[in-house]
Parts: sequence; structure tokens; C-alpha cells
Amino acid sequence: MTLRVVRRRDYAEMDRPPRNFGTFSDILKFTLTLVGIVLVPGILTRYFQVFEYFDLPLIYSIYYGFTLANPRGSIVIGSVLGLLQDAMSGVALGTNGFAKTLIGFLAASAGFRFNVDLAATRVLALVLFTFLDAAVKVMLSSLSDAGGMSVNEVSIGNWMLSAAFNLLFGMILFGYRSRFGNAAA
Amino acid sequence: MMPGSNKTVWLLLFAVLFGHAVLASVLTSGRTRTGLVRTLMLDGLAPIEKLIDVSINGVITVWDNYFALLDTSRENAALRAQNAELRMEIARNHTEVNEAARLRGFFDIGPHITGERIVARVIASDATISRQMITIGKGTRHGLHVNCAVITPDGVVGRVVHTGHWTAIVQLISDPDSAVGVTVETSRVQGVVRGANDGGLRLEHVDESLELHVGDRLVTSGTDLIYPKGLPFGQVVELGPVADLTKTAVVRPAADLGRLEEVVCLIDAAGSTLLMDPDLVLPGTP
Repeated sequence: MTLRVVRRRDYAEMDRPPRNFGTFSDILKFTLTLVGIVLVPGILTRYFQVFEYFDLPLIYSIYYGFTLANPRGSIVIGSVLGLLQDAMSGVALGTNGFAKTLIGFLAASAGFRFNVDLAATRVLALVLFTFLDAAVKVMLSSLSDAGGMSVNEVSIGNWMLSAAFNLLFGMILFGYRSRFGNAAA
Repeated sequence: MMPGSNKTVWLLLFAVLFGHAVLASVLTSGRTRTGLVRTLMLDGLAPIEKLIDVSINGVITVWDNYFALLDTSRENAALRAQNAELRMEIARNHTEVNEAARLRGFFDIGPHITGERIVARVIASDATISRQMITIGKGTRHGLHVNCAVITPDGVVGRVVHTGHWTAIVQLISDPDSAVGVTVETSRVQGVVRGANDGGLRLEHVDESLELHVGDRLVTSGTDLIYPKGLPFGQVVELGPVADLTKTAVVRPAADLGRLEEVVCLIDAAGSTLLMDPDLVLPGTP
């Protein structure tokens, strides 16, 4: 079975520092990475239209969730990424923050409950989380009348395209990580 | 029962989610203006965004310029080749147009002249001091025969003296053995032009009492029964000494005998049919 439960522990065991973030350069590097994750797609979209289908903050929320195996860290990272994305994308602040926080947490939880080193698990997670992210944003927009996206504007085709591109980039990212190091590297 | 640490995680999650939800709902009410939080974030991220943009733009610019130039170079080479090809085609067309104009000129020669006209290309030349001959690319298969008059739009060139099936040899009017009956266009004074040994032309047999001037234009008289009457022949350029009660003069041919490319052979033109027998002695022919 692909999505077999590998081990079941409580979050206390999961809460371990992902890596040594003791040095200033590590923190700076990590911060800049997060900022770059949010800024680069927006800039690249100006030159290459296809980048509008990539949701890098989402992919990295999943990525960090899977690889850091730290729910608290994943919540914070997802929250920061989402909030930055909101600030830069012009939608209501909190919309992406809410979605990415939730996804970061779920990804981190999944990282401890399932074997996320399996390609099938990663594929399924990337696709499902893309749809979950979209669904959460639609729900929040409709509830808060944020004006960013209404239920009537939901485009399954775009979601699928986005899922495909996220899947593509996510698999490359996970493949890179499997070969060369861990998330914080 | 959730352990304490689990509780902390859940609390953190709910707190963060609640915070985002509050942000989304509270700040939505003031969407017409940018809120403080967003302003701070935008301002904070702006330098980094600009830096990334400049970097990406720089990479794209270098990429575009370098690889676009590679393409441009290839395109340039292709266009240069195409340009050379087109220029060659234009040159070819230009030559063909000139040739067509020249050929049209051949058929405009002497509308009064009857008979067939055959245009032939000069394929060889044997213009020496002693012999002034050219070879043309038409022969008996094309209807040429001995003593056909050969002319250009400018004037008389000579006559066919030998024929092959596909080529013919033309004796130029400057050949020492050539003699052509001519008339001064204005005064109607008649004479015979022979080839001089120096490759020039000399007018002879002009009565001493008749007037002859430098600049007089000469046309064929038709008396030699080879060249139809009235074809432009040449111009008197210098008067010579009087000998045996006749005047002589140096004549410059109307046709440029040194630069012949195509000529017109007059088949069965007036008078020439009488001379198809090569044994017949031509007037003025030694």
C-alpha cells in the first residue's frame, strides 16, 4: 500500500529543531529564500506567462512540511509565505496566509504519518494540496466578500493546470532534495 | 487525549489561522486603501523585489541579446546569400533586357528591307591585320548562305563568305578583300569602300569633280547586289589624295566592328539572292 502509515507518534516527538539555525547567515539565508519564493514567481510571470500557474509558496509549504517534520515550524513558514504572497498579490491579507498555514501543518503531519519519500505520496499530496489551497481561498473569499475570487469564478481547468505545474516543479524539488540534502540546505 | 505539546501545536495552529481570518475579514472592509500591514510589507519587500527583478531582467537581456544575436547572425548570413542571389538575378535580367532591346533594334533595321532576318551571335573573331573575319553561330541549317549581308542596327558589318551547317564566317567590311558600293547620303555621290591594310576603310572611285566633305554620311548604294540600298555604312573622317582623277577618303564605319556581339543576317534581301552563286563575280570584288 502506497500510503501506508509508517509510524504514529505525538507532536511532542515531532517537535524537534529541523536544523541548526544558530548562525545569522543561516537565518538570513532562510529568510531570503522565503522572500525569494514569494517574489520570484511574480517577477518571472512578467516575462513568462506560464509562471502564473506555479504556486511556489504552496509548493514550499508542502516541501518544508514534508522535509522539516516540524509542525510548528511548518505553521510559521506557511503563515509567513502566505502572508507575503497576499501582500504581493493584492488579495485580502490573510487569505493565502490561512491556506498555506493549514497546508503547512497538514504536510508536516503527513510527513510523520506517511512515507513521503514515495513518489506516489508526493504526487498525491501536491495535487490534493493544490486543490485544497484553491478551495480554502474560494471559501474565505466568499465568506469575507474579499473580492479576490468568488465561487462563480472558480475554474477547475485552471486548478488542474496549476496542479500539473505544481506537481512538475514539486517533483523536481523533492528529487533535488532527495539527491543533495535537506530542506534547510 | 491530546498531550500537552500536541495542545501547543493545535493552539498555535488555531491562533495563526484565526489571525489570518481576522486579517482577511477586518482589512477587507478597507479595501479601497492600502492598510498599514500591507504597506509595511510592500515597502519592506520592494528593494528585494527590485533587486530580483533587475537580476532576472539582466539575465533575460543577456540571454536575449546573445542568443538573438546568434540568430541574427545566422539570419544575416542567409539574407546576405539571398541578396547575392537576387543581385545575380537582377544582373541576369538586366543583361537579358539589354539583349532584348538590342534584338528589338535588329528588327527595326530598315523597315523597307525585304526578306528574312536571322539574328546570330558572334562566337569567334579572327580580326588580324591581314584578315578581318568573324564567326557567327548560325549556318546553312538556319538559312544562311554565302553573300548574305550582315549588319547591326548601327550599320553594315560585312557579308557571309563561308557557311557551315551551324556556323558561318563573315568577312567584315574592313577586310582588305571587301568592297561595298556606297552613296553619300546628301550629295548622292557614289563610290566604293574597301578595307584598308591597316584595318580601316577607304572610300575610292569618287569622281574628282564631285564634292566630298569630311563628315559626309555614307549609306549602301545597293549596286554591289549584296547589301540592300540605304543601309547606314559610315562617315567620311578624312579626305585623301586625288589619284587617277578620283578622290579618296578615310571612312569610319557606323557599326562598331571591334565590339560585335550579335549581328543580323539578311536572307534574300533585295539583290542578295542574285549572288547565291559563289562563282559569280561581285562588282568591286577583286
